[in-house]
Amino acid sequence: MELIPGLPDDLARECLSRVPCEEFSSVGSICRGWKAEIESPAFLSQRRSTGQSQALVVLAQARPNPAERPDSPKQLLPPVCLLSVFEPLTGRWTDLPPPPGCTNGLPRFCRLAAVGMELVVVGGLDPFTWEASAAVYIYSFLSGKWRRGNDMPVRDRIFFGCASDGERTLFVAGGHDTDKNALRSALAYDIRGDRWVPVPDMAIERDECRVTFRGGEFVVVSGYTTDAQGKFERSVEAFNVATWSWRPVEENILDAHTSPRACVEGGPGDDSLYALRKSGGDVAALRGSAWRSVANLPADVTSQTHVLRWCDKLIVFGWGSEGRSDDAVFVLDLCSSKWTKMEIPEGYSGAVMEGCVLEI
Amino acid sequence: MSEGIMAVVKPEMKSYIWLQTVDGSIQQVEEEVAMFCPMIYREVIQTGMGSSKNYAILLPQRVNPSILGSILDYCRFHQVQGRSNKERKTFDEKFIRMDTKRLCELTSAADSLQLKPLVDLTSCALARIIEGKTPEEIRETFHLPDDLTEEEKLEPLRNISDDPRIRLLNRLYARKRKELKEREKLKNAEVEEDRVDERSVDDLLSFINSRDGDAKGVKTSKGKKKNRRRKDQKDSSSTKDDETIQKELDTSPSTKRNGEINNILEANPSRSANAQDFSSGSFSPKLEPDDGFMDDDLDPAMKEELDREVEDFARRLNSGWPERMQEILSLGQEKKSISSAIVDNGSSRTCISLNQR
Repeated sequence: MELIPGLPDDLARECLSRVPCEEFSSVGSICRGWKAEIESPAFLSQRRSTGQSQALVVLAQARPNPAERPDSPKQLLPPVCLLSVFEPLTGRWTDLPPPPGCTNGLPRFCRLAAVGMELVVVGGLDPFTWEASAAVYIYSFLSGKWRRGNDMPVRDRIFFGCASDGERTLFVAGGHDTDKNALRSALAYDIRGDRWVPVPDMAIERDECRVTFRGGEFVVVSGYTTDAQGKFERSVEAFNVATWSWRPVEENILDAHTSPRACVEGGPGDDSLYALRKSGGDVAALRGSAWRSVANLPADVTSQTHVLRWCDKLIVFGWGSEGRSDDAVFVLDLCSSKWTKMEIPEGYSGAVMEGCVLEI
Repeated sequence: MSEGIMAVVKPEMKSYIWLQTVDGSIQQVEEEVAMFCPMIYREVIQTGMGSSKNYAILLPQRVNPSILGSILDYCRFHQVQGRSNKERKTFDEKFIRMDTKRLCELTSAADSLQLKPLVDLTSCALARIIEGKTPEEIRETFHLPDDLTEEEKLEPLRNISDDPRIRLLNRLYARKRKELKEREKLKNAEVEEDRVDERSVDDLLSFINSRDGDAKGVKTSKGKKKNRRRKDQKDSSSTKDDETIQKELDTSPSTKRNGEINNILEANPSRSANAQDFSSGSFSPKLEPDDGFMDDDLDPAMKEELDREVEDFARRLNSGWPERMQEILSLGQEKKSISSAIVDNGSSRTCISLNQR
């Protein structure tokens, strides 16, 4: 059965791949052929390679607690963690509903990762009990539904670094346990098989580290040890997936005052590591072993909560010179080194705790 | 001309290429038009075929005479150098207005002739058709079986595609997205850019009009439409650099309430109060076509709500951008027709309120 009668399949694919992501669930409900087509990995890779894909930014934000009543100011409830989807190209913000049952939002300080057409939410602090959460929630942009993945084997880990290779593996490293001991351990999650796989320990403990995926390796950036609380390491450690082992620690990579949260990987084909350097007032890229300044860091971007790479731009969430009431999105075009500021619409302001980019 | 002899090309005569379609019929086509097709070009250059009736180039099986006619019309237009992007876009929009079956044939034929720009155009058109229809309509249009069980069907659209306005908004978003992508690429292109924008919304509207089979609607509201559109166009096309484009984007629909439009993302239950205020997507006057068009589809209650939305939005727009409004108003004064467009139309209230500020 042809995908579209009267059209060779490869051309039918061309047509289907040009349909916007909002229509995926519709396309998948037409017939068996179309459903199989849209669910195939080839569909997504064709969309990406022909530039038809849409890059969505998914954010976990701290939003006002809906249970908080404005008339009783004494009752200050902590903010809830909710997801939003931001499309920088159109400036459009939409809500992404939390998983069913998560009436108090998602676990606070959870980590996000994008794999294919799915968003994975892992870890964080349970919104009710404030205990470390081992839950794994997966949202499919194809079906518009949430599901649970297998919990993390060890529940006691928060503020870890997390990244995905975009295909099937999620990598978790470092963090700390309930006694605030920094962790050296790491784990990998196979999304297709829904199982957690052990990974050898890192060389040192890394609390609050950041994990990026570059060149077939999960690179763990910075973090601090139990004894040196808050003193971020300047080293990085890379885990090679092919050899399933860690490469030796690379010392003195980061600048003295750069936090791992100000670091972000380059895109496909760009093996650099980018960092916002407050001390230098610039944005720099690490290629090989040398840092090179690529743009200024405008005085406007005084405080940054999260940095993401989106297409060939860096998106910085933070607040401008007016302080916390002036939260905005700053976009740096890496080609032109120009910054643009975008306002955040009413209802979507809230500190960005985590974010990831989905290209679908 | 006797058949056995190769045609002698005199300098003042046009040269022709001979083409043969699968049904056996042979025709001659102006050389520059035929050579626009890579497949024909290659045949001529590599094998020397096509210079006479006896040596006509045999076209692929997927190209029948009628489709060939369309393809050659396309080539005839586009092979002319010096046409502006706007002209080409206008032509393309009109060109692809045909039934789905013919569009499929055209895609197939263009592909066999390796005419990639036309394949892109037609596949986009087909994607737009898919985008605008409900699953039932899609099955009917493309003759597809309904062979999935209810469980297998993915999240069904929540009445969203039944509302023509939301479908329109989705289309406009997609179009805006594309336009912005293109604009980014052509950032330093010619001044014609401005006018490209104008035409694209123009044609989008009449395209949508004709697709919804409402030819009458086109005629009656055309006058009013043109003026609103021109005013809106000045808005979106007057800015070229990033910053102002971003500012423009920022005032895009109070997008919190666009939850419903994105039919994959459900509206957040804690925001349901807002969702209910508002039966469908909110609109940015910049993207929205003239209310005159909408009137044909809506009942008075919806229309009123729409008007309120637009007014509210316009007010917010005004308070933020006094300078921009001055610009728009001064343009509005130049185009006297805006005042004549204010007839017995819901949009008149909006026009007036904008002018008064």
